[in-house]
Amino acid sequence: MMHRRSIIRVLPATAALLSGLRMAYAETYLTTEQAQRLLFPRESLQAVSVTLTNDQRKAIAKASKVRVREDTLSAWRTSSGGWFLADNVVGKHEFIDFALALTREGTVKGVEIMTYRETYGGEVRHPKWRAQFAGKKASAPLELDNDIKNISGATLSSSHITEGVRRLLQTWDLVLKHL
Amino acid sequence: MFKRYTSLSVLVLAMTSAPSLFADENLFGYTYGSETLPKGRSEFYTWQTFRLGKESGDYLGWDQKYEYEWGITDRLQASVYANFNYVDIKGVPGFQDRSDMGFQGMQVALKYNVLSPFKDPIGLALYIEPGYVARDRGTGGDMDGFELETMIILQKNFLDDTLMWYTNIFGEFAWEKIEGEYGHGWGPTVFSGLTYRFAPNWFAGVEGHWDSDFDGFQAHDFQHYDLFLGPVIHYANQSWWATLSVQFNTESGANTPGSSLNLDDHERMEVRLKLGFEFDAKEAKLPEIASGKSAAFVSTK
Repeated sequence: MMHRRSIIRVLPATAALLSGLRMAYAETYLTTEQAQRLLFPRESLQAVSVTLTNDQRKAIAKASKVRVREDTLSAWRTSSGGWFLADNVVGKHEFIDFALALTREGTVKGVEIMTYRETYGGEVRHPKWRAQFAGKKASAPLELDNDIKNISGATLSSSHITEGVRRLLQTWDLVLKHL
Repeated sequence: MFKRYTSLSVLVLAMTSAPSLFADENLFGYTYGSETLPKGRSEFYTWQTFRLGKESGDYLGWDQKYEYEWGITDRLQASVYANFNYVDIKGVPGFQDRSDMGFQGMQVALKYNVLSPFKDPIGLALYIEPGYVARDRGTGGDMDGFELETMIILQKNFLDDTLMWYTNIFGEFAWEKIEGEYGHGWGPTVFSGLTYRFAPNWFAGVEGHWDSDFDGFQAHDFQHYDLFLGPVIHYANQSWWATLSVQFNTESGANTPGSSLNLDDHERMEVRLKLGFEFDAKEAKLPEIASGKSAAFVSTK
């Protein structure tokens, strides 16, 4: 049988190490309503029910080179004809909730990270990184190490947020602008 | 020239252990991914491996590793770890009966990320780990050895990085003294695993490893090969993660009499539990962004 003294020696060391653990939890930085007020401070928004057809999903996936996981959009049209889209992308363990604001012409007005649940990669919340998307259109490449700078140490989050914006811009170009 | 061991291939057993390097979150028990810890981050790992079943008799081997790992840069991480070993052996032919625990060795390691699986066509990392071995994991006997492990780590992700395939090409070189005899050899191994995120925080998959033993550094020194396969499950949240892997000894190129498996140097199965914990870390510094804009957004009006 295992020597009891061995177990007794290991336990205090393990407890000491565990005491240094960071107890983290999901961070919700903005609710949908807060993100709407931040991105469209002087406009009213009206929810629009949009469900993508299979053909639309395929067209968006082909144009953006990104999988379309859901067929229902969380979309609001603004009083000026712009769009507020709430969406999520895959994080390392869970999902990253973000919001995209588009002008009437389909140009990115802003990107906000609403909820971030991961251990690493939270630097995508930094305003300087998100500001890279401002002014982008559906015709933009929106690729890391191309027109979007990567954040070293946060590559997965940077990549997926960039792909999410690219997918939503194609969604606007192929579906929303025709509504 | 080198001397062969008269005892059961203790060098083989030492060399056919899985690499003991940890690099950030381990989705598998035995196979490694190409990611590294971000600069300034650190983690503590423990892995507990239970090796069970010889051809006859009662055999339990319990290997314990405790590791601290930190990110030197966003591409380079270092690790240091200490190993302990417990064996409980009774009536196993070729093994001395014993039941005790002892210090097994220490290693240091460096892992460098070359390509990212999230933005490059494939993930690639290079790994090196020198170490000292003080105890034979299989028999519990004393030994005095130096090992050098090297590895090429490949990773390919699919389906928005929810399906991940890892493959490691591994080589372990050893110089050891056991029961007064010196010897050296190496053991090339290939590890591979496939895992899928089937629910938030949960991954499940399969992994295996093909390992071989050379009782020297020449091609004619080949001794045997072994193939292990089995399931793996992984859970993670923001502050800790756990991985449980079971590996079954399915095939061998050198057989124990009466068995189709190499049960002199290995056991019928291995069960490995890994736990990883992140410590408080400094906020990573955001690199300069070329656009220079500091506002969250720019009005187009």
